[in-house]
Amino acid sequence: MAEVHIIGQINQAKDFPKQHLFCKWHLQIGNNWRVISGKREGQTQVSYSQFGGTTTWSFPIDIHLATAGLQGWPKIYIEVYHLDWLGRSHLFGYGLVTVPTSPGSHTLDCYTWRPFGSLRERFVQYFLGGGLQLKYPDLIFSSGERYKLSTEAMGVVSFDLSVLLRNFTNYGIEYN
Amino acid sequence: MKTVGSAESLVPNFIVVIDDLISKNVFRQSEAKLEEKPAKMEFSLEKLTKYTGYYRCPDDIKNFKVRIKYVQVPAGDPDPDPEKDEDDDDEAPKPPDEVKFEWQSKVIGWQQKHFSKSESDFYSDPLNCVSDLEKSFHEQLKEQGEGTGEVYTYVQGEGYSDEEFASKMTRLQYLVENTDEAKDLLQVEDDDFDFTKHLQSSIRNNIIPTHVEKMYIIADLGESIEDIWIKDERLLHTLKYEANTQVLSVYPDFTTVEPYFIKLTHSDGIKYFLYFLENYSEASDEYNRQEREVLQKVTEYARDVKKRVIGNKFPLPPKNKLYVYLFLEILSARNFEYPDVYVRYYIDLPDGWCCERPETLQGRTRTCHAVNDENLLHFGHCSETVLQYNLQNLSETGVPKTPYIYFEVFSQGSWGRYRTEGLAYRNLPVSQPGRHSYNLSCFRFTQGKSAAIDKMVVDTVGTGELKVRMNVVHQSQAFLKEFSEGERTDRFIYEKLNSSSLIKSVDEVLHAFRRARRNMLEVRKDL
Repeated sequence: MAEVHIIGQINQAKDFPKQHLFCKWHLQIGNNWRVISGKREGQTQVSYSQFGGTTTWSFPIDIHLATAGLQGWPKIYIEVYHLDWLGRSHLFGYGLVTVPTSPGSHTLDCYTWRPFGSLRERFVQYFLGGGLQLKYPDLIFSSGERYKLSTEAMGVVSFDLSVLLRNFTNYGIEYN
Repeated sequence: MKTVGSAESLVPNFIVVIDDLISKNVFRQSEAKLEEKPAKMEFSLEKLTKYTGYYRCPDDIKNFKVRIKYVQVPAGDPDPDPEKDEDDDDEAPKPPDEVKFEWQSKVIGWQQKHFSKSESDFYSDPLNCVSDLEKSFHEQLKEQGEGTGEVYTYVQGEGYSDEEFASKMTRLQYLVENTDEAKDLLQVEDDDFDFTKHLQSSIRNNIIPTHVEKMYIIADLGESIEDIWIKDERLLHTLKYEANTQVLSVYPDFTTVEPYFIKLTHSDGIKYFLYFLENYSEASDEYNRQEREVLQKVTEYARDVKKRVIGNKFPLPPKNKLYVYLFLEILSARNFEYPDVYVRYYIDLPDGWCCERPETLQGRTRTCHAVNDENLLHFGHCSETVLQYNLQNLSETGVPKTPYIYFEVFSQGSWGRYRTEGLAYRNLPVSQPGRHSYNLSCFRFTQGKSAAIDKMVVDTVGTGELKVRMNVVHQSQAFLKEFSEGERTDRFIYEKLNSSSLIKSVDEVLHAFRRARRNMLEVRKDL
């Protein structure tokens, strides 16, 4: 049994078309993996910046995992939402990023996207806000179904993560 | 609230600084041996802020000891500055120049009675001793002789009242009743915050400690005038212990560097009474043992929980295999000509490599619509695969052939037309575990077709750029401690593998097997 600590923060979002963003996150792990302590999912506060185009969250992540196999290495799945002035939240992006497999501290960029609708849907979205959302976001994890999606590029969410590994060398694993 | 005369130079602050309650452990602290102070010291006598120290005491309070060190010194030269107010209590006294301090010290246990001169006179007469406590004092006096020191204690049950504390409470209540002053004092500018209400509720909900034991360390700093001892009793320290929460409070807190002092105006001049209070208790073996046991239990429990949750099985690859875990991420792309783009990839495995799930060797991303001037595309595509390498090949070929990954970028036009926008390839970083990021520049054949390329010069044109990231992890039994020989200084994976005794042993087994087979064949030939 080997252990992984993931400690860090969801740092900021950049290049999104609007500010007032918040982010839901969820740690995606394989069947071999178990959470020993820490929260596996969460949601950041709504944040906007008066200066520049980056939205800073600095939302802490601290998870302790144990595993009996390397398959299903943790990935962080995020959904970024925009909160408009009417208090409605619109989907601004999905993203999935693999947690680094080497110990140490890493800066990680997660490239997000959102479904790209038809001309009429985009027209409605432009004036009324909102937009398309995935009915079953699970299909992001299954690579087989993903290609049917049509999407557009949104912003980048950056993470600062420190990864600590324990006992992996006992199972003949080399990570750096 | 000031006591008699002008000598009380340290007015206790109204706001008591509450120290970190948890981190201090009075018995732990004592493990660092207290250094003996040299007899001659120079102090820059600065006014020490008096505050209460709170200490967690998991050990028996009976093991608690303090040591008080004190000295009475005459003041230095009178201050030449005429403007200085002599009676100013807050003014720090000048350090006594070159005075040889003769420190006296006294070790005081918890609720241990030390007698003053007058007390020992009083309690040595059995007629004065009525209550049980007084009788026990009498017995104690008979055993240890007369108390002489100027520092002594009042213990629980003697009826000594803590005037400072009592006055502080009334001060607090006074502030609550006169809210204007409380507001002024704390400079609360925010009107929304009802300060009165919260202060009152905090007082109302005050947890009243019920099992408090107190003891006081007192000094008699009087002087004898015409053979009559004029008593001047001063409270030096108040120690309180709450048995329920096992919290000890010390007011004023221990000091080991700077002494507290009291200014005395005696008939023969101004004097200073300097004193230190040190934590003199020693951690008992029993306590250390208990703590070790508790820690052991905690770690064992944590280990059990993990084992129960995960189990102890972590599958190892077969002895002759090297597993390469590849976590591939196709992050983003830019500068492709058409807006709706997707990427296909394919991993080509050369000889010696295989994969249990060949379907993971290829894949494709979603279609992404480009935005902004750079035609930026975000894929955020994650996939993982496990490549297996047969270690027997290593001894035959030396350096194994490297798998390559090929990317093909397609654009999806209107009317369902597909175009190849770009091609890129990269040898997989299988020899170096860790995290690798690549910006791959793509090219495209000018003929517009990607298939059927002859082995001749072909024209290509550079197109966009593809950003990918790979995490590589290796697993092999050859890396296990039992097979590694000596220090692990080899940088590259194949050197590591070659230096592993497992590979050698596999080779030997193979050689032995081949030899045996040859022998067997020869034997058969003869038959």
